[in-house]
Amino acid sequence: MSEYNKKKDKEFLKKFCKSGSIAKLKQVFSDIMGNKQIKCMFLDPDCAPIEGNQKAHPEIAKALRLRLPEAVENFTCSCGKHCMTIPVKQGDNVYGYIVGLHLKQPLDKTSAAFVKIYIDLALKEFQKEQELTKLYDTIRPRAIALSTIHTIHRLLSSTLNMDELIERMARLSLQVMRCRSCSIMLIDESGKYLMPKAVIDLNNNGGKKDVCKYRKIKVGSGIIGNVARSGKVYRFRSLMCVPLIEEDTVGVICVKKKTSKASFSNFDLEILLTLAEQAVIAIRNAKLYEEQEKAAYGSIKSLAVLLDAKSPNMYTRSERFTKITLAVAEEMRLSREEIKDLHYAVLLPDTGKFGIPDKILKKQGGLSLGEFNIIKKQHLESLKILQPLEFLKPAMPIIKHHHERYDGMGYPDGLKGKQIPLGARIMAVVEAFEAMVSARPYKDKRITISQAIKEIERNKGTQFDPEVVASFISALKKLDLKKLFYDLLMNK
Amino acid sequence: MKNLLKSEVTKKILLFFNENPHSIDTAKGISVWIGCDMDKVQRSLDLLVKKGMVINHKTISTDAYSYTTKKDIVKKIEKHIKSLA
Repeated sequence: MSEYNKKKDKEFLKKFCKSGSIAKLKQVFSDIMGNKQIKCMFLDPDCAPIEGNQKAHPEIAKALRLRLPEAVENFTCSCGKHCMTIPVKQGDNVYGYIVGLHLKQPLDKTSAAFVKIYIDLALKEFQKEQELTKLYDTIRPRAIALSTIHTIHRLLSSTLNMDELIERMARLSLQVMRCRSCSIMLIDESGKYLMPKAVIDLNNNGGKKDVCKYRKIKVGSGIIGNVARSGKVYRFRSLMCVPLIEEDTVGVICVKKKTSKASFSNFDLEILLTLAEQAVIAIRNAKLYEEQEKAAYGSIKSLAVLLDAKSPNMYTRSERFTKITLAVAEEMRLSREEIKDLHYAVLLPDTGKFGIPDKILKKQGGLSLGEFNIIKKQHLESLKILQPLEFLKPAMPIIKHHHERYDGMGYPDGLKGKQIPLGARIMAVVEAFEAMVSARPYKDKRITISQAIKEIERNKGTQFDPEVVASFISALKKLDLKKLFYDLLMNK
Repeated sequence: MKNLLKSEVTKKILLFFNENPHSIDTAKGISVWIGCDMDKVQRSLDLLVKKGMVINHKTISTDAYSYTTKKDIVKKIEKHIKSLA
């Protein structure tokens, strides 16, 4: 038998001798033999003592070594007392021997047969237990690791915003690798440089660092640059860099310094590679989504330019209007999707005016009831221009209802209060403000910013949503008004 | 900490993360690993997040949980878990 197998069998016997089955056997035997508590000696297949009364009766081990009993047998020790030997074996494989010492009487044949059967059954049961424990110890951590990878996949797939995605990836990598620092760099459009996109360093009091402070790295330069160029991993003690590959290398993810201060292992590398593969898929999806958004935005801008060509500033709004509207939306903590839809609506707020005759649109002074009804009707008709653009669907209610009033006295549907989409309520405030401070063909003069703000406040609860007004005022305070209203200041 | 560890579910969650610090999983997943009712696990996780012992990776579609990365908290938890063992 090889040394390795001998060692394995010895370990097995040690555990078996400590098991509940042997403790029970000793108890039962003590009762049968009339002993208070049977003392046992455990010997390995070479009859060397494992545990038990190792100091007592060393001659027993010596004697047994000479003849290696194959069945349960009685014998007398040097003290003249009854003892017995029980081989612990399965088939031809002998794990060792249990020696019962100083029995009150020798073991009879029936009891010997009982002991043999019991040891057989106990061995089988113990082996099964060992197999189950081994299975549990090997499969459970792998199952947990698999579940982790699956959960990460779900977390990464839940966002299509590139910045959010990259930062989330960095945090998840930090968590899974249990390291102190993680950075993700993506190759720029030229293909020559790696641009830092997310850097998290737990040594830096909680983490996220301003990526602008990190310089770009030339592909092929240094460890990270070489990982990007070669597409090969780098692992050394407290640093691991793995390329992000989708056909070509698109970036590199680096982790540094395990929390436990141990070196990164092969297992760590496998995990990071798996993470990187998932990351690449998520990045690709985010990029596709970004391109789709750009195309959508481009379409709207083209339409806005076309409408502007017909009549400047009649169907579209200024950059300032857009900035203020989006600032109010951020102040009110709208989601990214909601802000995006509002942005689309802001680019084409008055498409509805397209079919309205110029003499009504550009009329100085108030409108007659008939003229106002034309405006209301045309507003709905002209929204049909935007209907074929599927991606504008969420923005349509904002465009349609931004002329509603909070008190229900607006148009086209007379919606009241919170019935009006929030984006429309925001646009109503900003549009009124912008109209007051800018020159419009149907107005004689403009008023100052502070006067306009006061006017807005006066009309909260009637024309405007009070919550939106409050957020509008907060948002204005945070903006650089001198820069924003530069054109107005210059045209005083 | 002692009060927290009075709850069997909370104790099992902390033990789970102590043994598997790399893992990130949902409340459902964790309830499977520790063999406890999912609602009880969710409540314990919410409490542990408040205490800063567990991190909530929250997205629109998924709430996932992982062990804190703060060394001092990990050491504190380890000390208390060992004293219970």
